[in-house]
Amino acid sequence: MRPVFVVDPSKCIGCMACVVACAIENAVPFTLSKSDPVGWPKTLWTRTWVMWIEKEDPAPSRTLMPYLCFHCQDAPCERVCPTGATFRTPEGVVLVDHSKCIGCGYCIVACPYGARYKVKEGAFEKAVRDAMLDDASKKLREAGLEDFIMKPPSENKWAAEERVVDKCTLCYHRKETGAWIPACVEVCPTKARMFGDLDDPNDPAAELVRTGKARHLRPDLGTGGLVYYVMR
Amino acid sequence: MSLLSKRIPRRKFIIFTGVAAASLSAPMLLREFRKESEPSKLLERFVTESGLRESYSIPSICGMCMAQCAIYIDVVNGVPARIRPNNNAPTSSMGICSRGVAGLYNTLYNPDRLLKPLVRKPLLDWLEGRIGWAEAVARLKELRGTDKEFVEVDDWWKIADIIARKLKELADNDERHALVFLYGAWGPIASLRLPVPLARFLDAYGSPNEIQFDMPACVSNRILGHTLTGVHGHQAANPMVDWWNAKTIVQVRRNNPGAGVVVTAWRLGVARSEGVKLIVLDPAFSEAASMADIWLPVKPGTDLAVILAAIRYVLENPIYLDSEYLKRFTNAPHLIVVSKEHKLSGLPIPAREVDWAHYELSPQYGEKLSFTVFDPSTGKPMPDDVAKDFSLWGSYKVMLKDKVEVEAKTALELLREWVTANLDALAKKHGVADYMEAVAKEADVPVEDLRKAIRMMVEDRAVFEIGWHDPRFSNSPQLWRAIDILMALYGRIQKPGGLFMASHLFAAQAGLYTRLKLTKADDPFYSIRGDTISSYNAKFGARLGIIPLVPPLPGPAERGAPPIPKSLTSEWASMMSKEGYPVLFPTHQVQALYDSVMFGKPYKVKVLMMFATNPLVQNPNVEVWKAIFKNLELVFIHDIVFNDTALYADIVTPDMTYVERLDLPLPGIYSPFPVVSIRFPWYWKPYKEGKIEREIRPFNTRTGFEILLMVAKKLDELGVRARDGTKFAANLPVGMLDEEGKFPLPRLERFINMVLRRIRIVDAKGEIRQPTLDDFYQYGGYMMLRFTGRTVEIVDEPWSKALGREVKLRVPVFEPIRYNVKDEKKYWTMFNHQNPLGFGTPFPTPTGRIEIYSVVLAREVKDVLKKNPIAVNPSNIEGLDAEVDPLFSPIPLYAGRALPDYVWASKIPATASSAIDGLKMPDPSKGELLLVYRHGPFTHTHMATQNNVLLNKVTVDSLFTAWIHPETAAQLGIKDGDWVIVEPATPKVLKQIEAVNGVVPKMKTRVRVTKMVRKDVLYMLHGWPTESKRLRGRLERIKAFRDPSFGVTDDNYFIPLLTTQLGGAYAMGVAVVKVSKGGEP
Amino acid sequence: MSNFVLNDVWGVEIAVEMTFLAIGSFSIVLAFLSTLEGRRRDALMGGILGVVFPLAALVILNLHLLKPEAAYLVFTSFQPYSWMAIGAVGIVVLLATSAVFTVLLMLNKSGVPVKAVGLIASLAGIFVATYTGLVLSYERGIPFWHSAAIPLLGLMMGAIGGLSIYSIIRPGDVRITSSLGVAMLLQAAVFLIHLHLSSIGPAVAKYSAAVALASPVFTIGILSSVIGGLMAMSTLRLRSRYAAFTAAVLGLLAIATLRYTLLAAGAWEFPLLQ
Repeated sequence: MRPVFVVDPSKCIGCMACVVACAIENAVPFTLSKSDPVGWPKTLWTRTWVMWIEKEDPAPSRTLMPYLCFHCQDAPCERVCPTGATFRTPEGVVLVDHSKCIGCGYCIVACPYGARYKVKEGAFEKAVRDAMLDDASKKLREAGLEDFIMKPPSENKWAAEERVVDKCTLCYHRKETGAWIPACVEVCPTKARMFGDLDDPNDPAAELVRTGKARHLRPDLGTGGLVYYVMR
Repeated sequence: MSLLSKRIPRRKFIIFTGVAAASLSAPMLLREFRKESEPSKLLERFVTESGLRESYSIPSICGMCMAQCAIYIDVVNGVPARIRPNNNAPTSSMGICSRGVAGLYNTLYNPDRLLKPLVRKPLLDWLEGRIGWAEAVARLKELRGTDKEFVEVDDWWKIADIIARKLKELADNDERHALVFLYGAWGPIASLRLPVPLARFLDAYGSPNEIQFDMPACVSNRILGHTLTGVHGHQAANPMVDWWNAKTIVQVRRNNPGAGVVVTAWRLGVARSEGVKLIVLDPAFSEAASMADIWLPVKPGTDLAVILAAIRYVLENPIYLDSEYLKRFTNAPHLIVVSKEHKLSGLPIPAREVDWAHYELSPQYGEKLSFTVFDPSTGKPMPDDVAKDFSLWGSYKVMLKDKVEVEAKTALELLREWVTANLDALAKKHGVADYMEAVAKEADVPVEDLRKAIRMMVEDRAVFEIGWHDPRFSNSPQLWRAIDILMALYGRIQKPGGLFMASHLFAAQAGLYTRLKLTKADDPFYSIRGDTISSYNAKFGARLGIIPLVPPLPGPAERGAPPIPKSLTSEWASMMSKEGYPVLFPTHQVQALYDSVMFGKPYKVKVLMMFATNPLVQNPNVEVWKAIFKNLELVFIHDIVFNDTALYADIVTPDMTYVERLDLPLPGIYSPFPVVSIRFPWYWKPYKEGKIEREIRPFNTRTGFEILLMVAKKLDELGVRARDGTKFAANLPVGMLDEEGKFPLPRLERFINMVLRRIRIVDAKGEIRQPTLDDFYQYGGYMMLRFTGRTVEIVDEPWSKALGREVKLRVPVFEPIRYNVKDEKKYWTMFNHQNPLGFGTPFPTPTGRIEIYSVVLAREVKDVLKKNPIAVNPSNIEGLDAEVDPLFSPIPLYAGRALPDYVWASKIPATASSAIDGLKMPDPSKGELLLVYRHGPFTHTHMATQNNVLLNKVTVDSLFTAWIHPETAAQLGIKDGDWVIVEPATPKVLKQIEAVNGVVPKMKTRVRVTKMVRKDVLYMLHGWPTESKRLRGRLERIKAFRDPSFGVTDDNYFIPLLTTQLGGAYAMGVAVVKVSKGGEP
Repeated sequence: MSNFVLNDVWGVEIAVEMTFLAIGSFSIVLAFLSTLEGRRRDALMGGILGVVFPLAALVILNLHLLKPEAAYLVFTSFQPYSWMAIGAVGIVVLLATSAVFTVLLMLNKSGVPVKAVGLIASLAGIFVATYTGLVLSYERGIPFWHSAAIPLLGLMMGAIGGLSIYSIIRPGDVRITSSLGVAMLLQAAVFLIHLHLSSIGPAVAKYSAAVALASPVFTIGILSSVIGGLMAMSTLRLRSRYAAFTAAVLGLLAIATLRYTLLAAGAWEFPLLQ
């Protein structure tokens, strides 16, 4: 399979379902992240985001821009990693092997797209407590129920963890369990986010790439990658 | 390991699950527990045996907003872990929004969720006979507004007992109408599937007062405009725009992608990517505006003028008129009597009134219930169902039976004359020749943009969304009438590429038509061509896609009891009329509570019961509402959290959250096709597999339904009878409750299957049978039903038993369809393009046609206002000292921003002048700005989701700031990011606060200086009060933008409590606030 | 609303670490040269510094990691394309050879072995100094760093580090002080040229240059580099030990502050639909 991830900003309604789904699916300590209208994983501490790009001159305009790691073919983050923790899967998904990551931050420095951020020690405890979610958890336990607050709801060895650099995985763990569709794509109510396979001649997302309607955002950097944007 | 540690060891996990399951299921096991020395061993065994550690997905229905999207609840090792979309539904066809995905953080993971019932101590003292009622109430009134003296109560029967005793007292004093059920906007999370039991309880008890305050506060005036014209205006019909064939879509007073519901937003999104153009009229640059091809930042309240300009443009360029459509579907050709003296003056001429002999035509024409047109082919008047051709224009003389010859003009002729005169007057006001320039000046938009927009609308025969929240100005009903008329002129209603009716909801929304008094059979002006709305639904129901969902037990109404008289709304409206302030088409007038509670006018209501709602802060001028709540006798509220209104309640009870509930079936609102949806709880699979015997209820919660049944049971015990002398148990399934007041899952399953008993489907084997819960489960909780054209006769067993006679009736046979987005366009043809409305099935109006000239409105002007509708002066654009206020015109006219008046006990005389009325115009140079509030965006449903930390996180910061235009900001010395002080500047608001000795509210908020708003506007995110400090997530989110330690944090405190004369809604768009500098960033 | 984001991943601690590497790297080079001239005491001093500073640098670097205890992975799963991995090896070689070199001197050994070890250590030193630039300049994420000037500056900072130390050890030695002067003035020139080239480069590099110029840290750095340089040169004429000493101190200050300026002014230009 040759996966492609296509973003069509004109279809995006800024509902943020993708961000929520990602946070839940990958146990991101989301209460620590920021809510800036414009930001990247590097600055917001979240794996994916929808930017509210607003301009006033000459006339008001607002572009909604879904954003995630581009999963570069020629990935600077992979090249600079001193321990080989960052690697590319056969399908071209860029992942971080948590057991190998020492958290030097070189990949964050090298990434021209701001797709990575550090999850520091104690992040989860803080994330849960800051939002009073420990109360919710406690009540449920007393009632005899477990909770999945900032815990991955399905087997997911790429879920966010403390003391490693975190990034989008295109929900690679779902591939390993059979049906592979990133959580953000699955929930997207307008399919402004699409996931497809270049090997499938009838795949609509792949078609957008083949016909050149969807293109890389920074071809000048020559990093390539699996993520394309529909340009109108 | 610490409570917060991220991963859980499986073994420990299983034990917790075990506790859940064991403690809440298999009694056998519970017995064993008591004997078992080592419970943990037994738990291990139990969990293993019962297979509760397995993981599975349950199809269910989202409860985060009204749209009812289909979802899957993923259960992992026995507990809900994630919510995903179920695409087999026309709502969530492609996915669900952030609210749906974040559902668990609203429900199970809500840190501030209520776990136990709370009762104020004085009530318990009264219950246990320590104090008398008078003393109890006195103490309660002191406690309201605080969260003091709430006692946690484990026994729900105590609560039922308190309520039942109070209701007995009312019954004994013949004051049953003093009970009010109040609910509205907050409630999708609980109350959306509750109205049927609520209505039944009230009908049985004998109170007419079920008040949905979100009608006046949100939608009723907009709905009125549509229904008067013949269009289904309920917001559930929002997706009924033919997205796939439209060329241009227009949104007025509406922000679909911003405040939207997935069901409409995804269709708009895809339509736009397929080339559909979008025009948006909005004073601020909303999300909708940012997607628009043309954005008209019209001055608030002037959008009606813009639509009238479009109407005039069509009338002056007849190539855009669809004459055939106007003749067949509308009352454009109907002759309206313009002679002032005759009794029919201002009304269409029923065929039975014409002297047909005078025209040598069959006297039988007189027997028909039809209306008179002029037939150019014969050169004579004719009944509209006989005429071969119809004159659309002109003035004619018609001889009536009473031998009076009256002059009559076609409705279309009148439309042209009146709209032309109206806009000419506007041109005169602005000293310009061209009406487009006049309207551009009035709406304060560039004339080129206006011309461009109107040309695009008309040339593309644009389709308008029917809108949602519009209580903004008193001309709101006329605005929506004008919009429907414009679409009718170029033939876009019930036509491909246009607007369709949610006819499958006619039964569910019958109230909308009852409001128009279409209830007298055979009266041409009070019926749908001879049918009442109920006989109409009975006659055409199946073809219209109406799905029969009927309670297993009949109520007093079904047993033939007359409707309950003296509803607070109607009594109050007639009181207003007597005081010189008539309100036409009142509905759910929550405003009446002020006069009722404070002054006993028209009568006192005493007991208020609320279900999943937050009226204290969701109605304008909060200080007034505090006074109202303080002065009631008993206030009960039921919700999943301790909301702001709970501070003013005496009893606060915890609801079951939607993921925990098996819920009553709902005819799929917010679906463009006829559907029924059923919500399944997360533990449905183990239940059906017999692994658990009943529901899993982790906390001491009850559903609203259960509370009603408990109270009903207590009423029976206390010997209180239903209004028709029957026992409550004969009206509600009281017998199904268990000793703890719970409705056990197996019984609820049985009950719901009975509710479905009148539906017939052709199943996979081709057999005709009743669908069951299991079928719905197979279909993912969501079943589209297509009428096969066949009906079968059935006997309604439960009703036969209850009524003691055989209830035999014919019911429709449906083909069940599992939605697939691939066939979306096919469904539009199947269900909507082929909808019979207009083809042999009359539109739900007196003429059975889309009414360019509103017969109902004309009729009310005559009957209620005692004025002649034809005497309207279309040139009177201020509406001052008019014989008939243009606000009531049967043809929409622009009369300024139509500021409403409001008469209440303070006896301010009625007047059409905003000056005396205490309203005012904004003056930006003085920092006096028009308050324009917004909802959403998308990440929130009113206040019901504000304690959801995940949703709060994805709501971007800039939306919490108050937006102000750079020029205005400069005048006031305000910089981007500053804190400013906002306070009410509308005299009316201050007068009202003074009248209740309230505190004048002030807000300290951060501003964003941006060109995305008009210069005369302050634009704010609506509905973030912080009266209740028990919602910590909400408090945390808002405090960086609105300072709770300084004052109020919501705009509702600045809006006057008003009632518009046409429709009786609030006019929330007329509030002016004063903005001043309040500190550096 | 800008999509220029300043580097906050590598800050003060990395600036200090790299400065330590600079000092360590050329201390050993000069130590080696001293042995050629038979100045045992000076060589020994340099040798010790060549051990102490790189060691301190490694400690700082390690503390800055999210998982200090796993740092060994850099060697056990060596990545030949990662400059950081290569640099780490270089630093370790520098440490090891400096240590051996120092020990040999302590044991009063002399002749070929000492010279051989010293030579290897010096080469390692030169590499490590250059590496502190290469590690920044190789990738394109931060255009302000993606320039040949950066490794060159790394090398110069190394030289200045070493020479400053030796000007303090041997304040009378005009060869050292004058070379220090030349190095410092060259450093200033190269840094200014780099700022100029950046300011006519890509928008974000221009932004970085502006940030650098506006920073007081840069002002301190460039002034101490120029003034120190001139003072060091002045020792050619008036052989003032104080001038030499001050120049040396300013030299150390300059490499630390300019290094920090380089890091702090580095900025990404993240994608943004316009």
